Amino acid sequence: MLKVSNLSVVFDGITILDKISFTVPTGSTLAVVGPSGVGKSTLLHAICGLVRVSNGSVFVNETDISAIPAHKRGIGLVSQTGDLFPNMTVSQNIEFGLRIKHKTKADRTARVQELLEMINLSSLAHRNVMQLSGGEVRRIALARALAPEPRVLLLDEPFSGLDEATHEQLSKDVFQLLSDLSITSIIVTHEIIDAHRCDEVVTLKK
Amino acid sequence: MAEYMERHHLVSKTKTLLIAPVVFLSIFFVVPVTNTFLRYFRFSEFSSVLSSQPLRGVAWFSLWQAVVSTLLTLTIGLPATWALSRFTFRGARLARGILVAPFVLPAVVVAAGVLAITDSRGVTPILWAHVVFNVSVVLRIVGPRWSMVNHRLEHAAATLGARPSRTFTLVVWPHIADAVISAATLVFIYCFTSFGVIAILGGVSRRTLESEIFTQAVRLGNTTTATALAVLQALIISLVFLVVRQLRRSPSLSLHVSAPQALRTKPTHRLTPFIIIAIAVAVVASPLVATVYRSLVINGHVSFTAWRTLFSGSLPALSVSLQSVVTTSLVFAIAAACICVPLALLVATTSAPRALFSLPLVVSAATLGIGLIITFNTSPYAWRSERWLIPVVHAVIALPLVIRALEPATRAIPSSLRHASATLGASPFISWVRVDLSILKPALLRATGLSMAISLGEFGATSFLSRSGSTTLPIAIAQLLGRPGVATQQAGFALAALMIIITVGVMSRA
Repeated sequence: MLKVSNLSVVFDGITILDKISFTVPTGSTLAVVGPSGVGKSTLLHAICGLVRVSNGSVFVNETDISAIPAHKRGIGLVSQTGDLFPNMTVSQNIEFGLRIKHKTKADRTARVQELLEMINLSSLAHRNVMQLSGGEVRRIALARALAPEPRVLLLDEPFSGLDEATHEQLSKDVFQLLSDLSITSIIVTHEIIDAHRCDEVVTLKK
Repeated sequence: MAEYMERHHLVSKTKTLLIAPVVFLSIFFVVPVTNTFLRYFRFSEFSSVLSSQPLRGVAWFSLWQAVVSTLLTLTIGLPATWALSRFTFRGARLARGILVAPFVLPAVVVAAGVLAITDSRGVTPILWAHVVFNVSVVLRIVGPRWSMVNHRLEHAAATLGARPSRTFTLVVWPHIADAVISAATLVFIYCFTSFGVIAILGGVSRRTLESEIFTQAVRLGNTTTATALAVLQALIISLVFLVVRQLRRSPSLSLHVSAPQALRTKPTHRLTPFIIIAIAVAVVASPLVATVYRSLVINGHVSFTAWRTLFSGSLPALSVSLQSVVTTSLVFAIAAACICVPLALLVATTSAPRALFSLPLVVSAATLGIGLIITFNTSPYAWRSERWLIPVVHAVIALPLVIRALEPATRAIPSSLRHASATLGASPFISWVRVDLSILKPALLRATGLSMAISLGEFGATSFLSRSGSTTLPIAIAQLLGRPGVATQQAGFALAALMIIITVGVMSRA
């Protein structure tokens, strides 16, 4: 379960987020919608621990993680552009979090293979990430975020900038995957159809 | 077909563009240096140098102090570069100005500043002066590269469980490694061929190969020994280049320029960048502040005597006026830039191998100085006493660095812009003037500033060529500081302080 309580982010007197509170039950998906510039991405970064929070708390399974640095929170993030490491192959990107956890090579290989099959991209294991299409980048970024088995997964407009057919297919696949894995997740999206695929919807307003 | 035509055109264009730079470098570098080696290099003398305990000691000192200086410079410079390229905060611009300013100062001025604090000569002051001078090299070379590392990649690594040190090793280092190696190589070469710093802070016992070459050639008249030392020096530097080439990786794939993060948004350890910058500024700025202090205080009492003497127009114990020295330095700097920048632009526009144009980095300024004296000694090439030869030499020395400064900008111009210009009726020359040059303006201004800075600070080769009518600021400062007498030395500090104030105020705004 993820609980955000009175979360505020203020920079130089400008309030980006003002006392945001919501709860995401374990295994369910929450959509966060709202106009551009309202602070949706900042909300995800604040939950991850990537930006400074002025007030409020973040709880994961009843534990207050507000003071815990980002790399120890166990919260995965799939950004808008994927942010794959350009100096690594597809496999190396996906196994990154597993190397950090000192998993054995055998375990890493098995997990990478498993995830590549989940996202239907097994043939791209050794591909240079600079050669991937937009849809493939999003899938690999998702696989990378899932590899270390995060407690919570955050997705920041994971389907933006894709053509309609790719968007539709990717959206279906991602939601199916999240459902199969029963992973607590938050998706920031502009698309109503994607918001309706989620269990709950939260609207941020200016 | 179009691709072949373009390649053919580029190859022809390359040959034409390189004529002027190659001729220039051949006349004022290759010929003098080759002449020196052909006339004065003896294998027997080289063997004597290698078997001479004192000279081996000089070579060893040159090597180990350069290595230690490089490591210390990276220790101070890399964290400061991280702080300034990844974060914005109040005072960052001033801190950057302070840290890059020493690069545009003559080495003798920096050395004078360290002397002002330590009041002693030896290894520690030498190492300190080298760090002060070269932190700016790290900032200038690694900084732009580090700012191109997309900070979202670091965020992604953090969300995957990587602590900051692992993120640096696995995500950031592959992108900046080349730049760090380049910076370290350059710092090593500067320290290895250190002359101005050694002249002020070396005392009797500490000499580098560069200062020994000068002593042997100019003071003792042993050109053969000086040449043998120059060969040894060039061999060591060449070896360094070869080793560095093996360490080079393929260029980083990320071309994204990542805007610095506002420090106030950093979730944890917000004081760390401040502390790092404070330490770096303390190390770099204190000699500069001390120089100004020593110019104003004698025996614990404030005295404006030295400054009054300077602005009265005379420099005690020297036969030139302040106005003459400043004018000479500025004229030489402008002339050097007028020669160097156009030549560097021609080279940077081509894809020719850079080996020839990197040679001035391998061969020391003192060796070049010897070559110029013996080559341009007889009619019709009796130029060694000509004033114009000094800015020409400055241009030779600055050329490799100015080419490196211009290359990223020239390579970033997409050929599609030239294609568009051509379809609108512009000839290749007009396209180059109207399209390329207008895009290159900021880079050309920076290159001009760099060339002028190198000229203003050049000491090694200028020492060989300088006459009474062509005394530059670094020469005048070194002469004043090297002579006995409190008043004379205070005048030296005052002149150094004047140069610091002008340079920090003007050049650091570039």
